Amino acid sequence: MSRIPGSYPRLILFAANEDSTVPTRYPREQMHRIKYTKLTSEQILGKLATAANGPTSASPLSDVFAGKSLKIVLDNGPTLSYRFTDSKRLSLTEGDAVAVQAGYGALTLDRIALFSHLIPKTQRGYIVVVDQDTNLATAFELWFSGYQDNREVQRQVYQGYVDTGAAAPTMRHGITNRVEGHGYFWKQDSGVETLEFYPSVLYSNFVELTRFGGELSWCAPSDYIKISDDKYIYSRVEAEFSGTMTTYVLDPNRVEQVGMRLGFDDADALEYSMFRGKGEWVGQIAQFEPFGDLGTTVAQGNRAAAAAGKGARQVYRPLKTNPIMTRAQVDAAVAKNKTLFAPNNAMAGNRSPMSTFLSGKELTLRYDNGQAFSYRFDGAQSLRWQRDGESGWHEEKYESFESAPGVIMFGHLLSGAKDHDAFSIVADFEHGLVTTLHGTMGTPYMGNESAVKTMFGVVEMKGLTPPKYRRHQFTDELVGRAMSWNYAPGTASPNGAFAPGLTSMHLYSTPHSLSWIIFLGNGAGGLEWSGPASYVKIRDELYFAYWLEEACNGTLGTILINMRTMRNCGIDYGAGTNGLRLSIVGAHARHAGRFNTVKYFTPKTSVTA
Amino acid sequence: MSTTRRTFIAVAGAALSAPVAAAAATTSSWPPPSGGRADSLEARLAKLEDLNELRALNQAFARHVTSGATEELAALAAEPSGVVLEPGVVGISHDGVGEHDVIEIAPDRQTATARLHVAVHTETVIGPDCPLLEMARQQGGGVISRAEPVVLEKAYVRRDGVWKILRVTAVRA
Repeated sequence: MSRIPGSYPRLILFAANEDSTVPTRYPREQMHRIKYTKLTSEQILGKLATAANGPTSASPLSDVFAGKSLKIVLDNGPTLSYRFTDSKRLSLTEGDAVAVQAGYGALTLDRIALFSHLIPKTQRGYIVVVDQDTNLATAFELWFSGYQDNREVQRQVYQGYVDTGAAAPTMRHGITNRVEGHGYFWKQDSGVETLEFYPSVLYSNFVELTRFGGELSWCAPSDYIKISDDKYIYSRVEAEFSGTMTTYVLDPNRVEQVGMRLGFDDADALEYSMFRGKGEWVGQIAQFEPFGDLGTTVAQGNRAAAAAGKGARQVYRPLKTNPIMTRAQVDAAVAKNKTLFAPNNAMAGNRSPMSTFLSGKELTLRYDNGQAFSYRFDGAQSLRWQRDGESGWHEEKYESFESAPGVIMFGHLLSGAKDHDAFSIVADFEHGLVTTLHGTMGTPYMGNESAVKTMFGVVEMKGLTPPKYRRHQFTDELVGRAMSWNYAPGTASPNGAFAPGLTSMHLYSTPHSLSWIIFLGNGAGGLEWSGPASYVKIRDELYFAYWLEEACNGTLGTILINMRTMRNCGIDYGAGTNGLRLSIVGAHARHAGRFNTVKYFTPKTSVTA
Repeated sequence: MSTTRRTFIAVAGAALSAPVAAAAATTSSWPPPSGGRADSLEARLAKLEDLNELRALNQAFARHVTSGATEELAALAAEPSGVVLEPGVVGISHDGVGEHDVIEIAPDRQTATARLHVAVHTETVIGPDCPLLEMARQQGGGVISRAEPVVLEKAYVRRDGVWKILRVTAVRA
């Protein structure tokens, strides 16, 4: 292959400054709670005025293109003719349009050059990635005000090549699943640190260790493009949040990146910057596509909303399908309907058998927070409970499962409680310990959003002496793990084809959050979302987890994960226009790998002189 | 497919509900059995043209069912307004190279029948709704896919010189 005329300097590696660690700062609101301003198109245009001079960069920008011209031919896209005056200014002709002058920035990673610029007096711009060895190019056309939330960066990805006058190459960069399952820690030249996981071919997870304190992970629609076996392009847009785009070239061997960030922060300030980063490889989780499937297409099913139009992509926008309700609306809906443990349940096809362990027993669950609840289990599905100090009993329907010998999970409503309270309880009758997730409906943000408190305590009953000091405890043993969960048996066709039942994957992304990934038809990861979570260790390989689908459908999911039997049992709690529901969850598990990330979540010590 | 025989395309009108077997009984097989009276060259050519048209009609039928092109599918039917696809059917693929398929054309070349070995692809929506399914549906999932080998028994009629599909019945293979 011919090269772009001229010579290019080799990469000068960014040397991360180990002394530049900044103390962890926590935002007033986490990302999913921030009410990002709905900027008008005019406001965005005004804020972009300075960006016409090009992006900022903590590292020196490359002069790889200075004094040169590039004609980039794009499949199904415009031809971009560039003249680079120096390392900061260029002129661009799009097709037959009039040339425009703009500031730009370029960085190189080995023989890959990435440059970015906006087009003055517009809300548009480009990121272009050129492989100087093959002359193949990928161009992201970017624009604002292309979606109802104007601040969300839109993109159209084009593949093409640098026209050197020789015959056009037949190869192209292209979408790929070859980095699906990768996980990285990144430290950029700006000091920003992130964890980034690629469990899907459509989405990615990112943990903002410095910008947001590293408590939670979030998910973003993402592009993965293969340049070569050891160079890839990754790009995400923080849709449903700030709308910021992060795009970089990635070298998995060296764990280096060069990239660009464009968007508006929570104070509506423009960020348009180039960055160079170094990182650590934190692991690889499993892929579930058939062997030989390289992800050159995305296996959308027959019923997928057809992506149409420039920049179209699959984006999960949970509040579009789960509108926010007021507390009064929730109260009215719950008054009309409570659905308790409905047998027809898509997530209970692999449910655990109903336990009779509790039937006939009387006991008290005494919690360290001072609360105590006495129980009389009248049958396998009916109980009475009494709060400490009450004289009367409350009757409830309940469900229970014996996940491991002597470990019972059960759940029930607390009828009449003002917040439509519910308990999801794990009691270990061999050790006399109990952990209860106390769910309530309604938060300061949404009436139809669950909240939860974890209560640790002991089981008091005849013949059982509980420990004085030992308790179940929060654990980070699951952090970084991925597990697939199959909620229903599959179906075999006479022709040998096999269709799995409803299946998802959990990624226990941080000690305080959990992501769920929905598989595409070919087993690739598809849409995903994330919520706050916690993990309690009940016994070895037995964990009690919850997650909250905050700023989403508001569900509180509680599951007891048994990693010896590789199944879970659980109870979902939620409310919406159809009222309140407690529903059974049951699924079979497969291990899907682990990211070694625990060390990144240790609170930092701020050292001051 | 839970029953052994079901109407794949329903077409309105009592005259169109006659069993395919009855229509087949009035037909002669093609090509003619050895030892029979040889048709004229002109007749043989006409039947070959009919055969090709019917095969193209079958391919278009499978293609339009698979792509969900309901208007195009209706245009293949003798009574377009009566076309109703069985719920859950999302595709048809032909089984093998058609070595077991039979197309019979009536001597007057106004009706025909066929037995075609195909795989019918179905999707059964998983329910009831839950947050996971909501996401799965957005990306084209949330269904149980199944492929079942069936024999499509088709009846055709020539309308204004063009072969049209009178009825299609799926019989479990």
